[in-house]
Amino acid sequence: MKLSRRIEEQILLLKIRHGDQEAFAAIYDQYVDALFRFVVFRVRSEELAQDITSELFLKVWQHLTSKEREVKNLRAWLYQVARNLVADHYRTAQETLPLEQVSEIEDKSEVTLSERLSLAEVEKGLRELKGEWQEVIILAHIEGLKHSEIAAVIGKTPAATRVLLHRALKELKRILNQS
Amino acid sequence: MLEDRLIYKLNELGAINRAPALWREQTRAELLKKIEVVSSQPFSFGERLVYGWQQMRLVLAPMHLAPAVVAALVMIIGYGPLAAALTASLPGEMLYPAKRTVEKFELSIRSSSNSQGLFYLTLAGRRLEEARAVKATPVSTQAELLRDYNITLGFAQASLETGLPSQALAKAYDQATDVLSANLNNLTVASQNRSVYNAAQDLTSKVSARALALLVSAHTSDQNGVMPVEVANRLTAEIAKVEAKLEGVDVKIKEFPTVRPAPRVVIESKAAVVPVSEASRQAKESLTEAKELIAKSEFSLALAKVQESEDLTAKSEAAVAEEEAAAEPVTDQAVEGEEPAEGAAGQGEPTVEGESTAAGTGEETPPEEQPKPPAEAPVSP
Repeated sequence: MKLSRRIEEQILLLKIRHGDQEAFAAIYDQYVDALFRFVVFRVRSEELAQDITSELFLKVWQHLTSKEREVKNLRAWLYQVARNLVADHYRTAQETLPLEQVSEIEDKSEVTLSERLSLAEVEKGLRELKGEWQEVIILAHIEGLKHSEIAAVIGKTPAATRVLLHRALKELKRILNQS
Repeated sequence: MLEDRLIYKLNELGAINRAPALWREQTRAELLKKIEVVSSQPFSFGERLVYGWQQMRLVLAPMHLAPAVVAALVMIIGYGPLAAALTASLPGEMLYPAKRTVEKFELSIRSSSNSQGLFYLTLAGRRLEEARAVKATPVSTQAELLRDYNITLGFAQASLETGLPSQALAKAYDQATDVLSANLNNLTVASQNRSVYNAAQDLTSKVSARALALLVSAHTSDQNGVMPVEVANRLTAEIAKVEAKLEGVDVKIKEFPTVRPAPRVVIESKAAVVPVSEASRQAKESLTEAKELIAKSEFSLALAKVQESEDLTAKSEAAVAEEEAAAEPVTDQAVEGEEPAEGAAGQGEPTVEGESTAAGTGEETPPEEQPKPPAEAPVSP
């Protein structure tokens, strides 16, 4: 992250800590679309994603104005909060989060697959992806987070995140090949 | 290659905006309404340093000068006792200009009306504290501080009108103006400063009344926030304040010599001039009605009745004070009060320090804006 952006971000956080609603609105405007997209991929329901995203921002305000905890990387922290809320939702609804499964990759022609690859198919394949694999692909390739940021979101080391991302892409290719 | 193409497609998915625009805007408005501005805590010394450091890094990073400048700053102003002295400094002292500069800096950090408004209230409180600390010596310094108080509170009032309406904000203003009002009443004021002091009292009352009205109206429009019992308690407390003032008025009325005509009060809404005892009776009646309305949770109507009663009470107090001043025998002795003087109603009047009035009575000059009923005005039955 550029120095100027980090500084601006820290100033916004400082203002929010002192109850500045406009600073909070600036963060909302900047991140609401991305966070909603992340949540909607994870819960597969637009309505539910709306509820979770609203709750997310309320929690962000409450957290930032009531605690002294320093937020070093706002973007990573926001995705972390979103991730926790999605997990809370599954826990409350007594649904289980999809577990990681290592499947064998079928050997199909990559050329054929590449030719017929459409956005809708990729999205469908992504939705079929399990647990953390889906998360890391969304964070890395849809939301554009760096490996270090993803590592902060999912609570793993950057090296483990890279491995996870590699496996996730392999799995996505397998799903797309199957379909 | 497939992976490149797949990643390219995933990137494309990231460019699609999925949040419905209407939901996004509605949620934004709801969140801003829900989130509470609960305090106007000043920035801590450490935060000021961090903020300054961040700003400086932004400017000086290309020149690699930031660390040196920061180190110098920390050495100069980061010294604990110096920071404390800065906070405690008073007008005329060497550090006072620096204190005011820091306040301006803190204000510039706050970008929202609500946040600025709350900070203006904090600053108004500081000016009052300084006016108390310098007492009435020199007179001009105290007048300057009271003028600053009025300007600052005026900004707070403007912020209240322009900011995002919120129950929490109204509540914060209500509580802050309550404290300001009490501190004003306890202030020792030189008689030359009475005019600016009266203006300060008027403005504080206005902002306080507006905050209370916003609190009640916010509750009426959105009952999810302030609890009915909270609004009822606040209105009841306001009634108690007016009742205390009315008691003071009644005591004074009984002390008036019967040979003199009773002071009168103009009631614009009824286009009538009534004896002060009648005005006091009507004020009490309004309070009784307000209590009944509170019991029925009709808070807006109750507030209107309380305000009606407050208006009558203020006029009665002014009329009684004027009558007292007129009846007072002329003496050469000036009054020097170290403690707050008892006003017409036992509160709300400042101590006059070391100054005689123009009439040489040693008593406070009656407020200039006290209503004087026209001699030929009709008296209501």
